[in-house]
Amino acid sequence: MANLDQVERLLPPPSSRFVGYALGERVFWQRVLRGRASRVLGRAFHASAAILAFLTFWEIAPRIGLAEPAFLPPLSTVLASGWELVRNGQLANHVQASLSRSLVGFAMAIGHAVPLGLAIGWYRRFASVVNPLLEALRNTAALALLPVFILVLGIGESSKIALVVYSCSWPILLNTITAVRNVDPLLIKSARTMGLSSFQLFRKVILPASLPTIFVGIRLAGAYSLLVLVAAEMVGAKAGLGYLIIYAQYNFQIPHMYVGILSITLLGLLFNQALQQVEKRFTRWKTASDGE
Amino acid sequence: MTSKIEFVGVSKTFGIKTGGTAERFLALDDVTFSVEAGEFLALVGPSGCGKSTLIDLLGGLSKPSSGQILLDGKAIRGPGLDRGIVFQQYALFPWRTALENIEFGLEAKGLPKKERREVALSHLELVGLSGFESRLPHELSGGMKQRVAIARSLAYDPEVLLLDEPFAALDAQTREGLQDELLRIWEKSRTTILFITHGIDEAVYLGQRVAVMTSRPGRIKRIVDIPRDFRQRQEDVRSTAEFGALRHQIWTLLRDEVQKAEQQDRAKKLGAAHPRPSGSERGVSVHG
Repeated sequence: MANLDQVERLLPPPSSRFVGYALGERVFWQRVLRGRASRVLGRAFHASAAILAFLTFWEIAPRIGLAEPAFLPPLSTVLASGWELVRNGQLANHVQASLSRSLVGFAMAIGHAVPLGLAIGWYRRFASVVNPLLEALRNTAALALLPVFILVLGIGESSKIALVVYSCSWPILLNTITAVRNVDPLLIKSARTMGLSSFQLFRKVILPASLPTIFVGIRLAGAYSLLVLVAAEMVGAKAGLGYLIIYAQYNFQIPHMYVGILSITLLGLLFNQALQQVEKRFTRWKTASDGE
Repeated sequence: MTSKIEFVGVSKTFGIKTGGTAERFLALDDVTFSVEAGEFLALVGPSGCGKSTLIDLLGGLSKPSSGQILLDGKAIRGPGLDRGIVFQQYALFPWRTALENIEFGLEAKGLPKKERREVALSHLELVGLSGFESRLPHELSGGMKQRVAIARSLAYDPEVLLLDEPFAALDAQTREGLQDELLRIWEKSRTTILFITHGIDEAVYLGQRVAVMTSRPGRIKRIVDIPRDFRQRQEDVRSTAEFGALRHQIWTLLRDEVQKAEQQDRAKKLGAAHPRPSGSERGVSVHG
């Protein structure tokens, strides 16, 4: 694969490739070698090479004494105890607890931050009033507020969900504001010349034009929702992946701890993938028009 | 023939802030002219002569500082579907297909869905884009985009069609094709057209009359009649002696204005590079 890439680089740009016979022949062989199947395989290898290397290192390092097996058990040990947690249903419990908290918080954040952002972006005067407050709140670390949430809302679900809502709101809110502000003025002008009312203008131009940028915020928020939740669960919870990690560490069930960590990674990846799919559906016109 | 559009002593001043001091900036000065019903009037002027200000005023997006703009004898009060505007940068909604873009104005007009679709389809055909209904703007070439934009403006059947340098961003061949297309559409629909351009050839080729504007502040310098029989000929009109003579006449009228505009521009740039010592200290943010 790497060799072919080098060949590719040595070749002149595509437009001039068929100039000479020799070049044409080279291209021909290149095409034959580069069948579709080998290309897919090659790409898959390319994408996962670093991950495979990392996992291999994880497996080997504790075995050859590079790391203390008690603190970093080999990957196979971690996977085995992961399987055990899957079978006795514990892992499902923790995942469900974390996922429901973060999804509820995430949904609530979308529910209020998008409309608020649209309003702030649209009404300049409103924006100039609330902006200083937003700027101050935005720079208040979410986790610093956890004790406040616990004081006010108790140690139950609501304080953890509140924390998720709080930290998810910022990327959504700020991206929505930016989105509305950056709608191409020509589109607004064009729509206004057709006599659209403010409401129509908003619904037919501002909103669809803003969607791609709003989705950037939503995707960021998706990542945040798991991030802060895990931290919250480490402080006070009876279930959830954060709890699993910290509890396993206290009890020196180190493989379990790594199971928790890996689960969070996988959950985050899946969540992001799902959001990307939704985003693609809604903003197909945008991604294509950027022309890569 | 009656006047469709009348500009009566229209002036427009803007307040601009240059480094803290507010200045008045005269964009249009006592502009008076009229466009007859069904006429194709081309308007040429050096860049920065207030052509776009004129479009904004006609579109009802801003109000004249003095004077009046009449459409069918009535003063323009705001934007409306009795005027269709085509912009140089197409201004198509990128999330809408070609057909949905054409339907946009019809939605604003409140047409039921089925009728909208019919009208939009027939206009897509009018601009020669049948079969491209479901293409998104980014899947269309520049010329096609402008066709869709023209169709969008014509679809809601405006009294006048205003085109603001519509073909300036296109390559020469596409431009000539679209010019002929526009003439064909105009002959078919007999909509009043005000066509703004900085291309002399384009103005002579398209307009029944060509209005020449002065550089800042914009005024109407002269309106040149283009002989009627002139473009009914089949041959390549652009290469005839008559075309050349008209072209030269307008070029001469414009030359002084272009020079004046360039001088103004240079003076402004110099002024920006060396802010007047009396001005306030944060005054270097003047833009060109």
